[in-house]
Amino acid sequence: MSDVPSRRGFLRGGVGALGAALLVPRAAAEPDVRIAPAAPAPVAPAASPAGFSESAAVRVTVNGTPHALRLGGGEAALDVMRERLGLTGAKRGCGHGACGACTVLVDGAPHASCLLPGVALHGRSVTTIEAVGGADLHPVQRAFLAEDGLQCGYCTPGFVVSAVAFHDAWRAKHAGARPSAAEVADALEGNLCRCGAHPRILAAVARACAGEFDAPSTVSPVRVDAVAKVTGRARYTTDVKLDGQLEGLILRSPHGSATLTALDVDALRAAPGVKAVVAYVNVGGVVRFAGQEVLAVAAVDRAAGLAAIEGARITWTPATPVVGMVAARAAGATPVFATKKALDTAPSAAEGAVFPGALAGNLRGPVRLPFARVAQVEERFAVARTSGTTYKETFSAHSQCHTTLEPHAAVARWLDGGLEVWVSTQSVHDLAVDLSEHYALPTGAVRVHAEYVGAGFGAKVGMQMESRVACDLAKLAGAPVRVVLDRAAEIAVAGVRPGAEFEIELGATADGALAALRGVAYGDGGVSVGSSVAVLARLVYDSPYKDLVDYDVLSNAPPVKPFRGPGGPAALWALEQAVDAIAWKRGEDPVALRRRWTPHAGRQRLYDWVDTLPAWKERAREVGADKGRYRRGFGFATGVWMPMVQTGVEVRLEASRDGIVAASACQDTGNGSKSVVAYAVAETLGIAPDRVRVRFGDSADPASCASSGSRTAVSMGPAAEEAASELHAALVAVAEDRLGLRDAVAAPGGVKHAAGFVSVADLLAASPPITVTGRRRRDPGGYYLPFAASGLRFFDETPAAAQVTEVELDTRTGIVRARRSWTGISAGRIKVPQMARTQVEGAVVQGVSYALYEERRLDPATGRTLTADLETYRIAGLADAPEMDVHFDEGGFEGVLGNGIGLSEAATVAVAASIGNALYHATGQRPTRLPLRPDSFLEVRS
Amino acid sequence: MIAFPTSAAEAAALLASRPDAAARAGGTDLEDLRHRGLRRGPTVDLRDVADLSTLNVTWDGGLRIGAGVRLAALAADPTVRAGWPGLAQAAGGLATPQVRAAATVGGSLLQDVRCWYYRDPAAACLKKGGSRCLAREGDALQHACYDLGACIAPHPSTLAMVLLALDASVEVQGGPGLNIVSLLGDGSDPRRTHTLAPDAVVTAIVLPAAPAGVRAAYHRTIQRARAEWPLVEAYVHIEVEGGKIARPRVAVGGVANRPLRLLEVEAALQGLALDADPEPALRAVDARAQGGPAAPAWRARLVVPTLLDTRAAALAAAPRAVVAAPPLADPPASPPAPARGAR
Repeated sequence: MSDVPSRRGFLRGGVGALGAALLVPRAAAEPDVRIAPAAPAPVAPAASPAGFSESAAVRVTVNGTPHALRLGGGEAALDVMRERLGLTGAKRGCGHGACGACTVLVDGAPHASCLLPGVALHGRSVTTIEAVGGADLHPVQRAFLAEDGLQCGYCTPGFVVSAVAFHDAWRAKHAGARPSAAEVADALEGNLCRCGAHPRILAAVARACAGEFDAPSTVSPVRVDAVAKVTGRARYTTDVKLDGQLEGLILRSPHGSATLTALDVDALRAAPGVKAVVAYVNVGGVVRFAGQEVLAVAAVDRAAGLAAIEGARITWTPATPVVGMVAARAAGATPVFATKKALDTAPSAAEGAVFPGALAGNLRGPVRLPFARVAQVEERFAVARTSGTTYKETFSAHSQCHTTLEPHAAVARWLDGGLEVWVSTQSVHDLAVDLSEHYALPTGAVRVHAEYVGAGFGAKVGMQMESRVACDLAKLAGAPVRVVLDRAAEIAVAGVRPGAEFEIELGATADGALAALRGVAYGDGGVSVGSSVAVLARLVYDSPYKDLVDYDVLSNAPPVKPFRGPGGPAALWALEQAVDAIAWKRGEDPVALRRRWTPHAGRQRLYDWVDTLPAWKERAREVGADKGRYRRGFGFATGVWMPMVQTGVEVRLEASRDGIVAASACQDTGNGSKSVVAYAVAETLGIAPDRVRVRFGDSADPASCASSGSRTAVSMGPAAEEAASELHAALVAVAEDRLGLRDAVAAPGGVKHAAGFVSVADLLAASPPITVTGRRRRDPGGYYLPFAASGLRFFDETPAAAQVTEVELDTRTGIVRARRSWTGISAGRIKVPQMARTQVEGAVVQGVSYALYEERRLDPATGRTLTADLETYRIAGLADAPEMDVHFDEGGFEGVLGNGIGLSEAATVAVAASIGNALYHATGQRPTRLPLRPDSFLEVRS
Repeated sequence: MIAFPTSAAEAAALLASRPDAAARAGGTDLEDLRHRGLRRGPTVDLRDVADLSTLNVTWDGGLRIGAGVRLAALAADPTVRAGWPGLAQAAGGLATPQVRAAATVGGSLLQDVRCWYYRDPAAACLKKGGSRCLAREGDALQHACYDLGACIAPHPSTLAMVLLALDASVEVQGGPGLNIVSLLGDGSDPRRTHTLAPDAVVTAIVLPAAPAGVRAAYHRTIQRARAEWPLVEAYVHIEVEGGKIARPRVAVGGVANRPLRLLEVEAALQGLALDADPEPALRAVDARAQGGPAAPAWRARLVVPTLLDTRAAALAAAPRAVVAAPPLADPPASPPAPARGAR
């Protein structure tokens, strides 16, 4: 199985289906590891026929330096830059020219270097991100810093290179004019950002073109690691190259269901360039999804590894796979797991938090929550049907792929009994623990590095298959091994949000109170279990009259993983449309109805804010008001998420005359956690944030949390503040003891004393190095549950979002666009407002992308993923993002240290539902199926 | 293995010497196919072939476009924009800037289909010598809505669709030229998107002179705002005589295994008053949807909307300027970009 499920996975704090999750131990699927030692097998080069040769001489100028190279005809310009010249700023995002992360300038024009043959560079001049700007940076780079036009940064070099070409041409032609968003989007249509920095990128480029960033000293970055990202200097796992490093390639099952009947490992071992082979499925073993890892080879380079895998002698006895929820639930469907025992090997969709459920065929469940008044639900519906209002509908949501622009990647090497791994992970500390347990190494013998991480969204928590393959191969080969998933594997198996079918029934009493809520959800989690959807519908409205049931529908599809608010978007797609339907039926304002149903103070304040929005206030009060070709509609939905914190995490400050370093075994996946820590330290000390250097991504530093479950900022911020307070106290002691100052007290920026003031810098200059550690303490307000698991705690008060979206339906084509979006967030105090805004905007972009464009599709015959590239798996481009307003309500959360909690998931879960409600407003037709392809609305004609 | 011929004749000879060899221009399609293991033979790289990248007005007022002209150069060329604006729009409206910078006219015309079964290395579809069309039996969401052959992958070339409407002809090294209709064929061979012989090298596309006053537009219906393969795409050009449409040309792409010239729509539009509702005339195309594969039937319902939008854009466009014919000596116009190579 492609995941390594474990009970601890939950304890470390994935996103449990609920606070009160029951812990179900899951046995890890653990096939034998087959060992194949290195067997060098040199090959004699074949003679080339007349006119053809194996390679060609290429003279190319790269960043001003002439190079003479001999290149193979199939070598991509991107590999020439990255592998031969060590210029790793350009990234391989998709590998087929769709994402633009590999963009370089050739004779000044942006090119997709992944598709450009290296030999095409002969006689030409290449500029990569490394040569853009210089010490003072290019105006476009400065604009990206000031506008915060980035999150994880993996797409950033490509965007910057494209934008620089546009900027320079624009300035030459239009002087100081500002281009429109559409003009910028035209120029950057070949670049994709998965984190959703769209509005910030558009603004940054437009402002740079208008000349706002011509002066070198005009900006300091919002985000502390932004300079490294806009210059291409940030090194991600995919950029790591160690001496003697081998390339690990994975052979995956082409079948959705099959038994491995023969495999010639000896032949593979003897293949040219192959140094090690490891098998993950034994002869006689079965595979349950297309893309499942069968074996891996370490080879001298990628080409040799690919050739070996393509030549592998392997035979299968395929069976007919069960594809899709209809087939899986059909009478007589082949069970994907024949027995409950076999099911225990299934990966978990929820990082281990799985409720027990019976297994019948391919249906696992019911998993039902023990609500207080579940027995009275039907009674309440009966009354509501006669005297109140009820609504019943079946909604469906599709499977969505994480497809982070940095694919899953790991580089492993074994040294003196220890293991060192560079990995693109959301959980540096936990992964080190996982690896030490998996390889039976003492804690401390494993070191994990992840200085820059090209996003995760939930797909990179804990030990994933690429880490294991890299470690296994490196051990066998006795050399470092890098494993980087290609885009097809990344989309197919590295991260999928489960699709779902959700039958929901909602009732209101005659006086408009919530009468009862009932829902049955079927999660489309492939071979994995725990795709909770219905239970998440409990989060929004307070009522004991709920009956919510989840089933897993098992099929021969790749396992799913948590994805930013895991089952939330599907749950709210149904629930928030049902609430909207009740409001329309009652002839009531949808916000007014929610006011009654959600008494929470934070949400009430968000509803106040919504009521002040001019566009919302002035919307038509009837459905289908627009009669022309284009019909606008406004939709509202409430988003909430579970309020989590991980206590016990630590931040260490290493302060000396050289400056202040904040260190923690945390990671910044683009969520801005490094900046949160830097700002927390700086604010506590009263110094500028750029005076604090943050070192994340090294498991040797103090233990930290995973970046998942919207918990990084709330966990790390207070730990950093505590460390900074301790440092401040230590500086007071320095003032008194070393400098002999009297009446010294901590003051912003330094220490006040009887005779004046000494700055932090001056105190550090007078002091030997100071090391202090801050820890995330318990929160004064207490928790929802009396116990903690590995420090993971849940608060009573939930973060919430109020999402208003304006859509426009083209009735002629059925195409829907999200035009404007207003997002109010109640998550307490916001530490870095500009960065939080970027985060919320990204959440909205991802929500729009989910609702309108993304759709994982499987071949019904084989279970293979058809949408295995970024051309067919479509994520929102710059021009698809709505205009956005973000509002932070900073009240509440008094019981939480720092008075604020995470917002990442709350901000995205309601977006699709708000679009559904807006389309109902526009047309009087309620969409029930996601995604909203044009065929959903082709019936609506003016 | 790779070879760098310096003439089209040499390229053709190299291709003939190795039946498994493939010609490469920009490489934007071929390299993707190679990465997916769908092409394995030697490469005949056209990088050093002289004279493939010239673009010039012919003695009779037509346009000769070297096969190696980059799409970005075609889209930006002032002569093309003035004289064949729909073609310039099409070249600038497909793919992305990063692809248009490298992809060439010849490669764009001869590229392979984007079908997700065809591009899946593990799927043995009809086009790869298998016995059946996997999309027809499987998931055809992105496939043809007009059923005109065994393979239902939509023809991928936007330029081919426009060139079809413009009655282009194709110059082939060492052989007689082809008109665009015969190059595209009838779709009866599911393995090919064109009829060019494996060892043939396209050297140029030639367009006949278009009358002054023509109004032209290219438009694609896509779901995302940009950078997407079309659900349906269309080219429309018309002349206006006495407030009526005259001599319309209409073609659509993305709907069948080859681009389609819609003669029935042209006939219905001919003589139609400019202010008359064009939809009934455009609905003449709907007969083609009868009997098509069921899966993407909704795509067929996007054809008329796309034609409506394209016709409206054509009407709104400036009439075609008169393009001055060059002196009789017919010197090649200077190429707008260091062009060689394909998509």
